[in-house]
Amino acid sequence: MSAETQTLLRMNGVTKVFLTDEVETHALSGIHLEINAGEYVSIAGPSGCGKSTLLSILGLLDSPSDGEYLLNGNPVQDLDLGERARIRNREIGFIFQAFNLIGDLTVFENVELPLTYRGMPGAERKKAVQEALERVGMAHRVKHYPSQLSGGQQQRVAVARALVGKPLILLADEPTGNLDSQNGEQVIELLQELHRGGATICMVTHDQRYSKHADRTINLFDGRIVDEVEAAQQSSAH
Amino acid sequence: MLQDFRFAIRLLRKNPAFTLAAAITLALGIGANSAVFTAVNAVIFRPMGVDHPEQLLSLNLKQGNEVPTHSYPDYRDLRDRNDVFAGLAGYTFEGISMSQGAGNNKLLWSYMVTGNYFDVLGAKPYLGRLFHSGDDVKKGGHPVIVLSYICWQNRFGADRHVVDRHVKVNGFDYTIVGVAAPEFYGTERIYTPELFVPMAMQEQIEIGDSWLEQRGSHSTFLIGRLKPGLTRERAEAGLNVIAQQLAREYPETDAGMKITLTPPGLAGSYLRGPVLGFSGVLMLVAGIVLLIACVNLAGLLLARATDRRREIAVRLALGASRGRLVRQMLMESMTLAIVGGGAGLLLAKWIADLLVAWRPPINLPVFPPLTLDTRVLLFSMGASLFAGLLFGLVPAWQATGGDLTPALKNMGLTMRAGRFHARDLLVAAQVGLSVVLLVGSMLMVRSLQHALSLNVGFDPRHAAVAGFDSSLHGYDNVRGAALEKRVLEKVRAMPGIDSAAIINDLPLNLHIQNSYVYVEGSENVPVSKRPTATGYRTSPGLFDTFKTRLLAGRDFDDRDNADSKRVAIVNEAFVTHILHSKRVGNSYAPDPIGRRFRFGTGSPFLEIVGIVETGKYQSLSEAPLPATFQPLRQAVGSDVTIVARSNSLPDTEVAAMLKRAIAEEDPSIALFASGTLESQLGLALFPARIAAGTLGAFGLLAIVLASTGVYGMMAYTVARRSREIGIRMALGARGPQVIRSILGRGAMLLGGGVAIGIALSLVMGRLMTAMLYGVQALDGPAYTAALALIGAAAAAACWVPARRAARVDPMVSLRWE
Repeated sequence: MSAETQTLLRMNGVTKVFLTDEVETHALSGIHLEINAGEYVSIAGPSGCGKSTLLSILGLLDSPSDGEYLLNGNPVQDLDLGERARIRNREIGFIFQAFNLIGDLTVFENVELPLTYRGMPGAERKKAVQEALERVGMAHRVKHYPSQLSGGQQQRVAVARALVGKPLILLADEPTGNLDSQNGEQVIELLQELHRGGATICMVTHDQRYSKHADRTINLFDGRIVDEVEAAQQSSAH
Repeated sequence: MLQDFRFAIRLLRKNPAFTLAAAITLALGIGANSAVFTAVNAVIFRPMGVDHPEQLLSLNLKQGNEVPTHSYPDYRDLRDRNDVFAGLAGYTFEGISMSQGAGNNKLLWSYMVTGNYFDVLGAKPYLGRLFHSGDDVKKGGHPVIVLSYICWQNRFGADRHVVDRHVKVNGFDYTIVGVAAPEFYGTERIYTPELFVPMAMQEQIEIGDSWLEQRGSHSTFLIGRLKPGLTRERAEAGLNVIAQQLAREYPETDAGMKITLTPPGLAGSYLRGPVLGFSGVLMLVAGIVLLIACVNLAGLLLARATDRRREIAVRLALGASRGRLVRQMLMESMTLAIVGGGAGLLLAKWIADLLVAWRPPINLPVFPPLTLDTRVLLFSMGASLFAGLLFGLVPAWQATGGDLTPALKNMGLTMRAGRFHARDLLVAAQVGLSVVLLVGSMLMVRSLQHALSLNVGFDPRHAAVAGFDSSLHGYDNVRGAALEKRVLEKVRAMPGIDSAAIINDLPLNLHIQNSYVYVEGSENVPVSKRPTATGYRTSPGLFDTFKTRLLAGRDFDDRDNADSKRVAIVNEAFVTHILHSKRVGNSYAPDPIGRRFRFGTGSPFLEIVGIVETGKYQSLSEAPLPATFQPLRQAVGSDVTIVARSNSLPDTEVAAMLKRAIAEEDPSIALFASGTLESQLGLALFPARIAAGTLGAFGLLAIVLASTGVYGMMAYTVARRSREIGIRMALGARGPQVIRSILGRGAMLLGGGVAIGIALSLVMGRLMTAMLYGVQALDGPAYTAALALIGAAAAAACWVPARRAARVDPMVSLRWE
């Protein structure tokens, strides 16, 4: 990582504690993390280690119990709901394991959704959606509903929806978890392609086949970062 | 916005079962409200088809009791001396007989109006002209009529050449001078007359009765148009200065006279309170039905929102603000509300048409036109949007809150058995509101039951009646009396008739004639403290035919004719309230028999010859009222009602025999009050019946809505708990245990709802006190019946989902999750 590289995300001592009835669960403890612009980071670890919780906090879907979180240099850990929604809409693109396309909207409308919430004029929206769908190879399915697509195609549409608003970072939570290996490979190739085009990506996965494609892999265990492995090290290890 | 609307339509089309259920629920709620408002609008809000109706005021006379009528001489003085009205007009109602050809008499209801009536109101003709002051100058000198638009359509075939045509009114020649505008049907909102006659023709309209010059006869309703810039208080003060002058000038009749002003349209202040009160209760009840429908829908939407939590979470994750999503969800509920509101309006139109087609058991044109005008449309639209907001807001707000991560990961909700949710509160609220409506319905039904079994002073069973007014058909007093006698003799001679008699008007039938009573020896009591009594004219044998108990003295007989001593029979209330006699065993002390009274200082004394039990004369809820009965031949009047009793013939056959007997004597005579005596009680029972009918219908609606609400929620709860139920069954729970667990939850919700309902019903009962006959607001049987009904309906609604829960296959439900 060169010193000139711009730091996009920084977490200092982030913790997350869930209180359920009288049980206190420490999901994350003292997380220190930096992700630079243009970087492809993978977060790995066994089930229940806190990967998804970390991704939720990174994506402003949840807030930390303690610690500092800077996005693009700005502290975002204490923002109100409205401001967090605005940042999610403009700076962050989500790709979910379960695709999370809205069944009652067409492919076009699903991809258009973030731009609609941004208040972008119709003509601009149409152009941006078309471009995004072309990038993922789904421009020929604009009028289809999610139920008419295969799992791989749905995830491609979800990727188009994530990148249509030109976010600072794409957050992918087990993007291949609901796909067979062939479709999973294709989605990973798509992410790599986007990364080569300059996109910053942070992906949660517990599948080592896919984490090795990242520049850096952060390993979590019991809510703590236990080690970070650079791509070169990963290659040598393999 | 447009995108949200398109999405809302798409969602509704995609879930037709939900859309249909929601639309029907809303249609019932909004339909009920729109129908009630249509009636309330017609009776209270609808403009009277006159210029600046807000400037019009009714004059009420207060001399002891407050009445909406004045004497015609007082009217003239008030009109000529006041400086607060731009114009003051008078009117009264009367039944008349009209024929367009020989022997084709029809009984119609009319307005007798002063010449300036239409000019004061600023009413416009549809055809020809209306009356002006010149049409009401010379007594008997203006045989002209104006038709109402409805009369022109129904009886004259909307003939545009009707003006200047001649018709017979009460046997006299009259000329039609015009047709009133369609929206104008007089100045009383619940009386729709067919024609208008100048007041100067009073003696031809009410043959044998001349009250235009009698200052003691209060028959004229007054309506005035305020001068610009004057307040009601200022006008009232100005009028009372004149009232004081009149009291000084005519102490005999006007002492203590006071005038109050009220908005017109409901017989001055007379019907205003009851009509506004009943309208308020109806609107409240309809509002509760709408509230139940909204609560029902809110529950459905909450359940639906839970199923849509992932979609909502995705939208939030993509950057939609909470407000934006609430707006989108409200658009969905508003779209639903508009669909339901449209269907509700159609339902209201259907109900209004049914009401218009229905003829109430009243011998008066009391139903105003029920139209779905702009006001009704605006009301329905407002109610729909309000409902949409009401049932949409809470689910929208709740659905857009909460934790996003589990929703995005589609983690199944495991509903916990013991915990209550907003949906459960809604079910309890729904049950509570239904209890309120059911208690209200049951109170009204019990009240009607009580009214039906009330002793009205005569036995309405096994008797029939037929009424006519010989003077309306050109008979003078002598010929009229001969006709009455022939008809009565004919009826008495008919096989199967046990007894028959004549009374001028049936009690409890709106024809109220109250007169001041001057008891011999106490004639100097001031007007404001002078007692009044209801007066009737009867033939001998009436009390026997009526089965009214004669408590002392004798009935009339043939000795009581025009040439003999003037006599009267009074009721027990007259004896105790006016003569202050007390009952001692089978007699009274001091003995009222032989005492004398009269109805005015100029009229002859009447000697009391008999005492009968006190009945009901004006309304079922009245306190005991003094009443007098005079022999038919000793009191002037031409309207008679023949009453015949038979224990062997069906009542309807007796009624047909009466009609036949009258027709055989004179086929041209138009009858009123024809039918069984029981059916003639329709007017007295009308308020109780209509209240019981409407509240009963609303109660039924409430039960249906609440049952579907409870069923929907319980079915949803079972569906959400199927995993938990599956686990329990996998661990060995048996069907009855599962059923108990589901029913137990239902019972808790029902119990909570019933507690809320009882508390609210206590408040509702107090509001309804004035509408109840012989039933307390805290009537045990009414509460028991209401709770039993709602309990049975809710138990049935819980039972089906509980049975379904007991049939859950653990393998399927666990795999499904």
